[in-house]
Amino acid sequence: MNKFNSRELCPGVYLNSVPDGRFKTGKILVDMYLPLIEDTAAENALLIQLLGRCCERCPDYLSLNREMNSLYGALLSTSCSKIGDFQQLSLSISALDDRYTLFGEKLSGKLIGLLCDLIFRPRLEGEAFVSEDVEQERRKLLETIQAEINEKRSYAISQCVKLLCEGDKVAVDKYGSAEAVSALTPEQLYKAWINLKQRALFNITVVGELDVDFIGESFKAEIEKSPRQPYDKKITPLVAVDEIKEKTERQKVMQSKLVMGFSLDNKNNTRYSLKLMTLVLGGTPSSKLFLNVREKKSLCYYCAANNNSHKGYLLVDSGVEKQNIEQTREEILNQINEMKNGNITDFEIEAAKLAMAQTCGMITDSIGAMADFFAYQFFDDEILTPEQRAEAIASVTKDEIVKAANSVELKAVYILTGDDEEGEQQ
Amino acid sequence: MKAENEIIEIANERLNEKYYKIKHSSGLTVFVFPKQDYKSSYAIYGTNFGSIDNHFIVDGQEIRVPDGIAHYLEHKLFESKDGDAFTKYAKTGANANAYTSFEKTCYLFSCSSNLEDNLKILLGFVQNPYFTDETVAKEQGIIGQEIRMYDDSPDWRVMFNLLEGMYHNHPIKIDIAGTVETIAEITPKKLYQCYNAFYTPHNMALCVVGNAQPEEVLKLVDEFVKPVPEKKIERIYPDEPIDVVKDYVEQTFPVLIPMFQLGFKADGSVKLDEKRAAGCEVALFAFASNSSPMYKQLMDEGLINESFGYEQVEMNGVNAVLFSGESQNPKRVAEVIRKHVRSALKNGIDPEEFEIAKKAVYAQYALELNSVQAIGGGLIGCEFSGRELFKCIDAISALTLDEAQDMLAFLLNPDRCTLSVVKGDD
Repeated sequence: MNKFNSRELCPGVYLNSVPDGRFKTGKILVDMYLPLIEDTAAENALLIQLLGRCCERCPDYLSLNREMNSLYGALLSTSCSKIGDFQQLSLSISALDDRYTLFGEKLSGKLIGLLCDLIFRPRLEGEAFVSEDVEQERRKLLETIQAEINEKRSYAISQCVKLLCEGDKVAVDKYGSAEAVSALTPEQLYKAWINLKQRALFNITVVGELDVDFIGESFKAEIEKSPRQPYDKKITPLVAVDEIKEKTERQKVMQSKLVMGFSLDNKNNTRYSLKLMTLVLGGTPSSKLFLNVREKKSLCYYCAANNNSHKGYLLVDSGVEKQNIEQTREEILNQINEMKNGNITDFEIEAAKLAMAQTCGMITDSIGAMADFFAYQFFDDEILTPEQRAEAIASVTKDEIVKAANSVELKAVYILTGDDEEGEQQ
Repeated sequence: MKAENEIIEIANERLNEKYYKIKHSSGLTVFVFPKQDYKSSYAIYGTNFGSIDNHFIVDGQEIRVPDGIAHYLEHKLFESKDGDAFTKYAKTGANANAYTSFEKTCYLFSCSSNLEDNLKILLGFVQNPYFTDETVAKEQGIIGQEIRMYDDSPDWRVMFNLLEGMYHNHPIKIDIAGTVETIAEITPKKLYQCYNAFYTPHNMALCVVGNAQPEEVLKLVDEFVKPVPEKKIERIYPDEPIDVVKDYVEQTFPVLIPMFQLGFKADGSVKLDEKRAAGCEVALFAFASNSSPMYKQLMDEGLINESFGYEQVEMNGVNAVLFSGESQNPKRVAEVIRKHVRSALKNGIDPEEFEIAKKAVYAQYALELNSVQAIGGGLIGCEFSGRELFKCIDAISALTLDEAQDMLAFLLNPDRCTLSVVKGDD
């Protein structure tokens, strides 16, 4: 059983810790949450890159990289993602544990100081970020946006989410639009930074043998310098429409992508029954989709189901040959109907529960997986350890799975496929 | 009378780890790396047989096999007379997979309980091939889909275009999965030929890492892996000129930002021992890390973004370094990298950068020791390359600047490189 502690340091600022001496490294993860809105998505996305680039003390990326490399190649990373109605900006640092340095150097005490330098003392010019920093990071963010289309699977999934959740916050691009990024000014980014300090929800997760109290106190001292009025920590479930939206996009691709979006009832089903239903449907190599759509019918190379417990939707995504799209779609719906009708074997349920128990067991042996596991529960009513989560899933009954499956309704179908000529050539 | 197993304990005091290397009586090399207080285990069972091994002499018979057969064999081995291995793993919940690379094929699982049952499944299916005309024909569809999926991946295309530009004859330039045409030539007989040649204990290794002890692993190996006479395999690789085929290759692809790989070709006949391998890693870090002068120039000119990276490639007949990333101007990137190569060869690696690089590379290895998967992958990689994991780590701290400098000169010759670009239509 992992020791896990969580407390609210001050309004809207939470500190979680998993003390663990088994690892060669320690990790501090700072997640910052802001509402995901069209008007501010781009500025927040660029802001987190600027915060990870340099600070007053290390005034350019080269001096910062050099500092990190001198700390035994400590890894600093930033990311921008979305979780429910929120844009999640993350900054994390992981470094070699003091016990294993070659010459007895102590690295651990420096990590939170460096993170605070980056978040609270960026390199500024008056009330603006430095324009050369803004230009470099803007170029990189625009290139990241341009490169999204290269990963066909994730591109198709994000297009389906947009179609399924049109009008909802979760449909907003996590980086905003390329146009919005291009229009940002250094002054606007400064205001976004002030807003971040005053209103963001902060969730700090510490894993390894690090001094958690020192980390908490250091962070609290910094955040309390700003007048705080944190956002509400609440996610509104998706309101599904009554139609099935369809969209087909054509690109030069050899393999087509079919992504189907479904609404779910996450009020009258627990997140555990929804999760187990999703696993039985398409979450493991012994799931209905894998065994029937891929193995038995050889319709596609992959076919998997994932659910979003915060917003309440389910996605089934597959990579298929163009001529098999229709048949795959029918077979996926057929498998969901089987579940609705209770045609689920004990073996299918047990296999999904076992897979979940195994996965939860493995999380505890990975520093990164453990940090992510706890951090991801930020918006949940209760925080579970991996063991507790496995137990909660194990206690779900077949009736609950069937009930969860009966709340699944098709709402969106997104297809990415080649031009007609290419399709005929195949 | 049973032959004895030969057990050696290998320890690293600085990192407080030890593992066991066992020469099993069957000829199989077995590694058991217990991780104190870890709940999970990871097992990887590999054969030194990959996509480049398409021409060989065994038992005096010269055999040429279709491109992609090692990967095809990997897929088919999961099936046996009494059902496929995934169904068996479903009963234990293990997370199982397999992969084929240029030079090896590995079967693996992670679990947090039932290690013994999982090992029985793993050893059982890998030891018992079952190929029939019908099952072999069925796989053509799924592997064809996999090949198409890779055809849509610009990262994959940019790499194989590069390898075709660098290598005249070496089979590294052939796609690991083969092509739709070559896999059509695969028959049960050819699969058995490969299996009988390469899936013998002397050509394989088993690593078990995590919550495991040597006795329990050996008991199962005794049961499943029977001694067979060692087969002499002679792998035939065509003569490979030292120069590249061409210095530039380009493909148009639906990407918004061009992707590139710049490959430096080194003498493929040189085998790297622990010291030389450490020299390569440290030298490349000092030369190309994110605090190097080269990185600074590329970034300042707006030529690269966070996707920039490098990778050292090493296998029978191949030593190379690939730089890769996204850029609006790949030709300029290549020019800048080559300029810095010339300067580093002439002026030497900066001593301060060298010290930083040693610590950072050492910490990367220490970080890998957190993960049962990374340890398993590291042990099997070292075994097939003729190196020992802890000697590799110790070689880093013992490395001298001159040794690193020699390896930089060995790896990077500015007159033997190829630039591969994938870019949009415009």
